[in-house]
Amino acid sequence: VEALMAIHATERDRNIIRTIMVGLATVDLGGFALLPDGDDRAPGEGTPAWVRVSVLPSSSETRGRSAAGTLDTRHDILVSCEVYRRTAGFEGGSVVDAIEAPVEALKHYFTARNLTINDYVTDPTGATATGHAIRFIEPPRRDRLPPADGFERRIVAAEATYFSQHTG
Amino acid sequence: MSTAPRLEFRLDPRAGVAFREFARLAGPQMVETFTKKLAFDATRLTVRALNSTGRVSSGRYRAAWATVAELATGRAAGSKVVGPSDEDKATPVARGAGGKFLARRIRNPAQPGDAVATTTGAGMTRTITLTNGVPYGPEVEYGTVETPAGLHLTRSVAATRKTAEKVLGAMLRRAWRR
Repeated sequence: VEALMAIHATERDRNIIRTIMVGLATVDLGGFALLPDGDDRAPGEGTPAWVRVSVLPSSSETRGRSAAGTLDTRHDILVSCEVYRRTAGFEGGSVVDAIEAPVEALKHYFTARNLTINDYVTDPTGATATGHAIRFIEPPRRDRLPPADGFERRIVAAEATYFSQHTG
Repeated sequence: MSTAPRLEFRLDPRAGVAFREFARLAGPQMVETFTKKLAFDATRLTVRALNSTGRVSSGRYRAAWATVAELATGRAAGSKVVGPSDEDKATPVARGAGGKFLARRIRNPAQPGDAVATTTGAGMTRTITLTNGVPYGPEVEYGTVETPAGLHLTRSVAATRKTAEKVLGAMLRRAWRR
């Protein structure tokens, strides 16, 4: 009974979020702190620059039976990276360079990226691959937002798709 | 003279004339209907996404999206509508009684000027622009220092685009089979 009730690794949102966050941790963000999904707080006063990452559902799910008899569900998600950098005053071109560098790095990272979904829930080391992938097919979108509360802001949003498997 | 197997497709000129006539008569109406449907779907999904989050406690932002979708429906090209008007206020949406596609009762309805819908274009071109003028809208969509971006509209547009691609693809496949 326990085997039948086992949740497949791709059905766990934690694995999806962790896979994306671990992948993003490899990107050189030029000293910008990386805030994990679900952390609604802003960093403390001492943090001058950060990237806040959210993994959001994009549309209703579609599902169907696979040839192997599993119930597979297609998930469309949007990975949002909000880039914040505190402005201390007039800094000339350096502030643009500073905030655009991580934006470019994020855009580059998400372009045509395939991320293998790892099972972090049962294996915290992440060494267990599920054989499934999160695929970023559409080009990522970058938006420049008006400065607010003393921060320069950008947002990089990337659409992605993955399939989860339901067994039992 | 080559005897290699060969297949040649050629459209009878009379059929070409018929196609052009069909496109002239039915095309603009189809484009208008399709564009309105996409605009309506995107706003409907936005309202649904906002329904599923507890962030927008007042509901005015959500109500404005519902109102603007209603405004865009049935309007002719070249029109610009700002709402909700006194007439709109009598509708269930503006009264906050639920409306056609609102899953949750809106306690704080849209205010005059919150919703703007413009429709431009002619023939086979149509552009519908829907604007939600609620002051705190940008913060809900794009976030703040303290709060993550909701991206409700961005996600809805992406989903609508995917649906449109599927529908158009299916139409082309059907046309090819005929």
